[in-house]
Amino acid sequence: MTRLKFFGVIAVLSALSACAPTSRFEWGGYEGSLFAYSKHPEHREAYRQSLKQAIDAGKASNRLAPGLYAELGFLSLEDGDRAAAETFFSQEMSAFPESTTFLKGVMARGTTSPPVVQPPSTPASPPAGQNLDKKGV
Amino acid sequence: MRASHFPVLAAFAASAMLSACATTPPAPKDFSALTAEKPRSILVVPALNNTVDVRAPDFFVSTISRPFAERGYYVFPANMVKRVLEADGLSDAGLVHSVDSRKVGAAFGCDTVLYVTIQRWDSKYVVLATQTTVKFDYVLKSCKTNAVLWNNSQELVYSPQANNNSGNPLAALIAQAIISAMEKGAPNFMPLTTQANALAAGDPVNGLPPGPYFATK
Repeated sequence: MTRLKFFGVIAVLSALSACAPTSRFEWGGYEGSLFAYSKHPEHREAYRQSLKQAIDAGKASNRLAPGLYAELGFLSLEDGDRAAAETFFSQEMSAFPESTTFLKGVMARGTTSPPVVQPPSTPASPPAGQNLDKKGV
Repeated sequence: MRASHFPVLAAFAASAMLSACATTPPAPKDFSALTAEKPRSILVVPALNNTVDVRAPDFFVSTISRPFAERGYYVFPANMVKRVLEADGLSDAGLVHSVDSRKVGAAFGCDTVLYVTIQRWDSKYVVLATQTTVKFDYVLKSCKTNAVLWNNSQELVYSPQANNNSGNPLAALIAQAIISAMEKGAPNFMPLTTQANALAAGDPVNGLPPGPYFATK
């Protein structure tokens, strides 16, 4: 079984290396820099730069990866730079309309707070999405 | 002259059959609910950690978006989603995993939610080698019905010493290449995790069926 898994790893490695130039999206150093940032908060600026580079490369090759503009905007929001956050979130929404409810919800609340997801143990309350709608999304 | 080709062909046929036998895949799962619903997006909520390594979910988050996005889906910004949930007091993954997917869908506007459980994330010293193991369970639920649309599980073990002793020069060479590749990434967990996620999402039999952004070329 272990041997099988090992060959599976080889197969995937070779498939990945074969696919690398034709990857659907451009990720740049997203994974490595986010890992470093998760491990060491002082790598936040390196993570931001790596997001920017992956976005630029993705735009140039028409392979912009989902989520990168949103992650970049969220760093700005954490910095208190709402204008920059809004700009990046707009870019994410125009490239990927699937993100609209989430990003507009985060901006409408005016903080980094999320749309409310009620844990099941709490008393009955209106569906979480309604809170967002009332805020004029 | 012509007849001499036969043994070669026979050998090819036999080896093809043998290799087919060796890798008989499990019966494909039924993904008809997923293909009928045609979801466009996946919200990855923070992984549930069933291991003793408390930092495993923090490291895991960097490896999950790419393989699932490459299957052709909009994957929500995983780290932002994690932070946003934490800011609202929902840092307990167990709590988030217990919320009905329809409620998550209403709040985030996602079509599906991916729940990952980290079952193993450990490194053990065995005889002369370090054996590193990761195991993940993946469950994709519909935000329309809360039903499971797709699920998979991956367990990978990395044990450099064992792989070197195969006696096959080619296998040893490949093993050596893998070892040096893995030693480059400081903790052995990350390449294993990346590969587990790639296998889970991209496996031709039980991987995630392609979504709307899947590369057509």
